[in-house]
Amino acid sequence: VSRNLITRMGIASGVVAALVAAVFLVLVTAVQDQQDATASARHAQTVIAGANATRQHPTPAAVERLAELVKDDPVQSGRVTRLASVLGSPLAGRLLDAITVSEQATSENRSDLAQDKADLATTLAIGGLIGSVALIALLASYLIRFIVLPVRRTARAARRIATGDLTVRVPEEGDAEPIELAQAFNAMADSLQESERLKDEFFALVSHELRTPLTSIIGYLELVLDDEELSEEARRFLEVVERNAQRLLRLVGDMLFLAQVEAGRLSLESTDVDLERVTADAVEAARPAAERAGVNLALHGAPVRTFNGDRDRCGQMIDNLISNALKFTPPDGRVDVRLSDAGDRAILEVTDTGSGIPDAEQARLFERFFRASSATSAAIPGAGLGLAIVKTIVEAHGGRVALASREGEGTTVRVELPYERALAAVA
Amino acid sequence: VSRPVVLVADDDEDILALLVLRLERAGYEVVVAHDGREALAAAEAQPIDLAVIDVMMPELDGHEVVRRLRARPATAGIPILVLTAAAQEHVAEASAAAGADAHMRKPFSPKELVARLEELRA
Repeated sequence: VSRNLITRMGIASGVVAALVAAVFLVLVTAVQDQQDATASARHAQTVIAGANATRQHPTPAAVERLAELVKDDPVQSGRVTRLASVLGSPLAGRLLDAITVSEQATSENRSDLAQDKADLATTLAIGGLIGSVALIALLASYLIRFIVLPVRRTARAARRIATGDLTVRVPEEGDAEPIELAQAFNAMADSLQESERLKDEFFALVSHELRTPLTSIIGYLELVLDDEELSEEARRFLEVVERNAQRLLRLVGDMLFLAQVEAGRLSLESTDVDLERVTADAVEAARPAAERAGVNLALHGAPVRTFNGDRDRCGQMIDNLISNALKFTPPDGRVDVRLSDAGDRAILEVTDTGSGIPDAEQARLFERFFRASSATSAAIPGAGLGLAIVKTIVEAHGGRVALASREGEGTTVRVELPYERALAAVA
Repeated sequence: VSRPVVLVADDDEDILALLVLRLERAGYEVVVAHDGREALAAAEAQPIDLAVIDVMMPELDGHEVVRRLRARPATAGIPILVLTAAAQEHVAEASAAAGADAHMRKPFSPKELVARLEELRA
């Protein structure tokens, strides 16, 4: 038996079509026979009428007409020929009786045959109809069980894969092509899972290779800086080394973060986020940098609801916003961090009195590696990853981020984080 | 009073030396291992009171070492701190699942690491 669905469906439809055609053929033949029988009966009536006319007016013209009517029937023709020679004698009456009786018998015979055929056709048609319906029902149930349901199962699994569940497999059941589909689907899921594993391994390796030397640098620096006999100058130099090691570390973290996002591997932890506390921590962490830059950093907190999200990522997002603001604010400027509650969402605003961003560049600020001209011209360090990360984190939490800036006056970044969101988008 | 013995396992020589230096300064006796197998062998060779294990090590990875330490009666209950340089968050969960008590990401502050160990011993 062929495992090819096209062949099978072809054969099945062929069988049904042949059955239906046969039923039609029988019906058409029966109708044809009925018509023939009717025509024959009408012919018999005409012959009988001709015989009667000849009986009443036994003229050679009447006999000629009768001969014309029965010319296809050799027996009747013979009778009419004899009738012509005995016209007017008592024999003629008997011959006419024989012609009438014979014609009636032929007609009835024909009609009986047609009736039998019609009965047979009816039986065959009903049988054929039942057979076709049964075949079609069989075909439909085959289609549902072996084609539609397996395909539907595979479609459902594909949707699960699309939402990130790579462990899903489909049973390799059904028939022909649906089985092929299930096998191909499972092979695809296997290779997806494998490539996902390789990606994970790659990130772990890269992260390990970059962080290991930084671990030594930062760890040994701490040891050295703990030495109280260190000269003031050496201490200052080493603090520069440490600050830059931290910067490198942050860059490594940012690059890996975005690489993971790019690879679709951003996974948010599901924790309770107390945004007020996270914001306060971020502001405190940024205070030494603010003091070093001579910028007045102020927090204007407000109670906001705790929501479900990734606490560390939220902290990273606020760190990025504050460190950006500090970078672009000249000494004696201000950076204000405002938190407020807007009913169904928390609003975080970081406002600086920095150089501002030209209108033309504002739209591109959330792009990776994009750096404002004010940043490049003032040689402000950075890789242009901060806001891209902010946007990624905020959107992963179902929120929005917007920026308003005026050149020479300053910039405000506004983040809205909804308290309720569909975690499914990231989990 | 004898000094508490800490098993330190990391495949990076410099980090290992840093840990030894800092932990000895904090009053620990340090047993070192350069990979997972050495770590388990060291735990067999002498009684240890706590362990600092790196995750990404040759031979046996840190999580497996933690699992095997937990399986031995002598080390089943000791405080274990896991170090990792991985970027992924789920490494922390894996450490906890393996049976580690605490988890620190590299780079770590040696001072903080000592403080965490003190916390775990308390």
